Amino acid sequence: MLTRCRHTAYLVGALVLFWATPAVYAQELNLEDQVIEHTLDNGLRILMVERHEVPRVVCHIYYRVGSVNERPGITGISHFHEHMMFKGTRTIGVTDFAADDALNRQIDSLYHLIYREKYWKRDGDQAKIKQWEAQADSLMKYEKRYIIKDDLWETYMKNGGTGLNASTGQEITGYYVTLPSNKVELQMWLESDRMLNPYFREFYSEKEVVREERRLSENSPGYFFREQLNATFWAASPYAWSVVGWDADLQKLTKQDMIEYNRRYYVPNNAVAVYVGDINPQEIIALAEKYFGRVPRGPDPEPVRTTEPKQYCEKRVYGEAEAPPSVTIMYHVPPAGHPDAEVFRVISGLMNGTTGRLYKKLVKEKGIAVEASAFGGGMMYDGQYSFSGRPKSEAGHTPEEVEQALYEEIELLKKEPVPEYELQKVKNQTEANFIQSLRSTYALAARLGRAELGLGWRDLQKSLERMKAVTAEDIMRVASTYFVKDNRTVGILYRAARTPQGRRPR
Amino acid sequence: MRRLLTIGLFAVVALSITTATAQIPQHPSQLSFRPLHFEPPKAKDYRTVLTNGMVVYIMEDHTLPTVDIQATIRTGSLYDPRDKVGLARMAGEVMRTGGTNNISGDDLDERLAFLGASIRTMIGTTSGSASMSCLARDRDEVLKLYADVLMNPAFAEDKIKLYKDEAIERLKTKNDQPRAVLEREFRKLLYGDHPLVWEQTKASIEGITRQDLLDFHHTYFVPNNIILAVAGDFQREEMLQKLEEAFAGWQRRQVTLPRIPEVVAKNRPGVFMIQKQINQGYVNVGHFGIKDTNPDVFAINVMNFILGGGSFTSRITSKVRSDEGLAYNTGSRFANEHLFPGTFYGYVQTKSQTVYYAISLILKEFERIRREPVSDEEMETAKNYFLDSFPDRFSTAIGTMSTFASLEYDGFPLDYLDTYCAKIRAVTKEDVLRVAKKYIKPGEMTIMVVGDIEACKKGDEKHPGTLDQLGRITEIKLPDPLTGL
Repeated sequence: MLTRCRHTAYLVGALVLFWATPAVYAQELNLEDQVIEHTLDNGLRILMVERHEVPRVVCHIYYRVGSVNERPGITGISHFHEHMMFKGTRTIGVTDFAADDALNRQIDSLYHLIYREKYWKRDGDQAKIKQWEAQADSLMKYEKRYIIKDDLWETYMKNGGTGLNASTGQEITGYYVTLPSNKVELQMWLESDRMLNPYFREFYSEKEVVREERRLSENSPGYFFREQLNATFWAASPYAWSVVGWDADLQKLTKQDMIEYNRRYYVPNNAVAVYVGDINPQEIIALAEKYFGRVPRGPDPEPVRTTEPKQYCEKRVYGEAEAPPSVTIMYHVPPAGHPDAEVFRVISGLMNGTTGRLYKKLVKEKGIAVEASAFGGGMMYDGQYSFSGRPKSEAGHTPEEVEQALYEEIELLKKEPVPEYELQKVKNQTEANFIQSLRSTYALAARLGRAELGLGWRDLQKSLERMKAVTAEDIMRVASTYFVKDNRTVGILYRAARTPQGRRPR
Repeated sequence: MRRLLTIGLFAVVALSITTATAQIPQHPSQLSFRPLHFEPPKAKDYRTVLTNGMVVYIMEDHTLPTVDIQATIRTGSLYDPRDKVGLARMAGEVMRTGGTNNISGDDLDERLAFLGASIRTMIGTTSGSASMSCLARDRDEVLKLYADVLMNPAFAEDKIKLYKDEAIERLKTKNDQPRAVLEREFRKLLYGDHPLVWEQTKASIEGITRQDLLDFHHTYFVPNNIILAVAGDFQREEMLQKLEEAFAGWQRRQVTLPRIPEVVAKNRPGVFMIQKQINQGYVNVGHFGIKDTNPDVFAINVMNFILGGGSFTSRITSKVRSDEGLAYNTGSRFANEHLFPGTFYGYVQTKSQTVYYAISLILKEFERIRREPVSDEEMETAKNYFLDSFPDRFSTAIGTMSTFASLEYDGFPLDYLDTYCAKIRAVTKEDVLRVAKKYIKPGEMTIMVVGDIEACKKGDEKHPGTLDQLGRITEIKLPDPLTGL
């Protein structure tokens, strides 16, 4: 009892302070003063930030391409293409390009036959397929004499490259390396070469690596359910398939698909290069002109054409997996750049964290869930916002109970204006998180590059300003507009029963 | 250039290629770089001790208007009593969520959230940590709350209950992730009945009381048992004064750590399989490794980089992934422990029918690196990587201070990093061969596979061979996650 009294006293004291704390963090940090930009004649954008703590430079290059640019039949090609970018070019990873190219043409024509026999015919000639595969195998073995294994990767590594990687998302693909500050020219050489001289060597073995990567995802608990839920939510939009793609498409993808995809999206006018670290911006610009400047501009790629139609009816998906039981409620919302976009950011702030409404109500107060969260918002071409939670199953609580409790919180958003203190807390947190997120040079480069391909890097800060202008009325209006039954897809996952041997009953 | 575009794209292409290629070297190996000199910050320049015995590494950093503190506390779940496994982890979480004798957990959460600040505490296997992060303007207030959490946690009953409910729900998921099952069972097989691998159960969690948590805190949370890393937007002397004030009431006291049984590093050769209805086998192949204080650690790092630690430049990745397309993840690793021998293993996740074949390729690489010297080029790549990437360790001020703190925590000399590059440079091809022979023991491999057992045992037409060729197969039954039985 005594301790409780003390808590109350503290809280009253603290409340006074809450109002005294001004919320003007953003003025302490202005990105505009730090970012230097430059555009090459071919359209490639260059962004730079000087940070001189250590003699290292984070070098990232981002392309506006991802699984949303795919279509049925070539799903997974963006990610597969990212893998291929590490298998060398016409100049890298090969000792005798002419000889290697001649071999590759033979291998490709064999696979052309194999794929037609295997995938175009209902009952292809298995003996022929085997024979062609054996021929291709021996040609690929022979080809190894011309291949310098993982040449690009090794060149980066032996020059002190760290953070070496690439990633493909739904909208953007990025290539990353951090180098000693005297070796940025190496990145310029290699990346402009990848852009100028692509060559898809070891295509067929790398396809198997990608399929293994897909299997890894499949073995993550609940993956198949999440994949189906997402595919159900999107009726028409290419956000419907996962970045790794459908396995049947991966199997049938051809070298020609890859070449066409590369030509369309891997052009300098569809990319941004970012340098953060111990740099001299004038030097970077001169190097970029020299190396990237040699790459010709391509036709501007058309933005994603299909947008999601209005839903008109609730959709529900039920599944079982060796995973914790859960409920996910997904709503369609507008894309990034829409005037309502920042309202969703504020709603996430209200809902999440230990002081957020969901944890307070579902976990602490009602004790029916172990976890509950809300996230999402506008993406490049469409938008999605989800509420989700995991029931306290040991105490007998169910996903359906959590679903109802989530609806109660959603209804509250529509009916009651959010108190000013709560709104201010969310805005403070969002700003503080923004500042913290700029500490790592790697994260800074990533934020700038990705934002640049969306609404432009300046929008990072403008969006903060718009977020600060969100009112309690905005939240009620937005919740009432989008969080409605006909606009939602609900996924309920139960833990699958297991036999004592760990084998699932079939 | 822009105007030329209207004349025709091909003209532009031709022009830009001819003008630019004149100055661009044919191959990146022809590039030359100006020399780069890097003098790492020296730990001793940043070290000081508060009057209560707390060691502090402190560095000013005015890049952003923020302040960070990270404490390392000498404790760990390693010291959990046999019947109270889970005590340290619970203490590590509830000491923050349960509030202090001066402020409730809920009020603390609210205040930090309003400031956009954070205080986090966590106790792992061999150390504890407590961190704070805030905007510079809120430093005094957040520091006060942070010191309060470290010194006076209340371990409120309602937050203990909340933690227990969540921990039990988490227990139920512990056999879901194949990767987690593999790592855990591999270690259990090697370390046997040892506090390093003891597991929580529903009963052990439920049996822990508030008094246990208070006693735990009293035992380990003593200023002279804590090292602080501090960095941010402040003046050093002023900040040190603030730290003195914040922890002023805390008295130094002798800490006696419980004795931990020695690890008997006896390898367990054989094939061990765990059933899971999935489409790949998750594989570890290995045995006991080294303590991080082993003087061969530099040669081992270079050797393992070449073997399977250097991603695509390493032999295992190059062979198993890049050449054969058998896996997305593969390589080898020395997971060094500080107080105990660690583990060494090769790993791969591959479709069930290529499990045997992939393992055989890894074993071949184990044999090869013990048999013949590595090439000059491999040595150069490995050493250059370690030397050229060395400054990365110092890229943020708080990271640098934490690195120094953890070196001191583990008992390394203060000049450890000053001599690091020299020690890497000194590694020879003969050293690599010697440590490969000494620390990789092909005859003593524990081969563990998590996957669909029957499918993983067999190969296929292109990848013949069966798992029993590698040793006697033992199936491990996973215990019930709640009871451990």
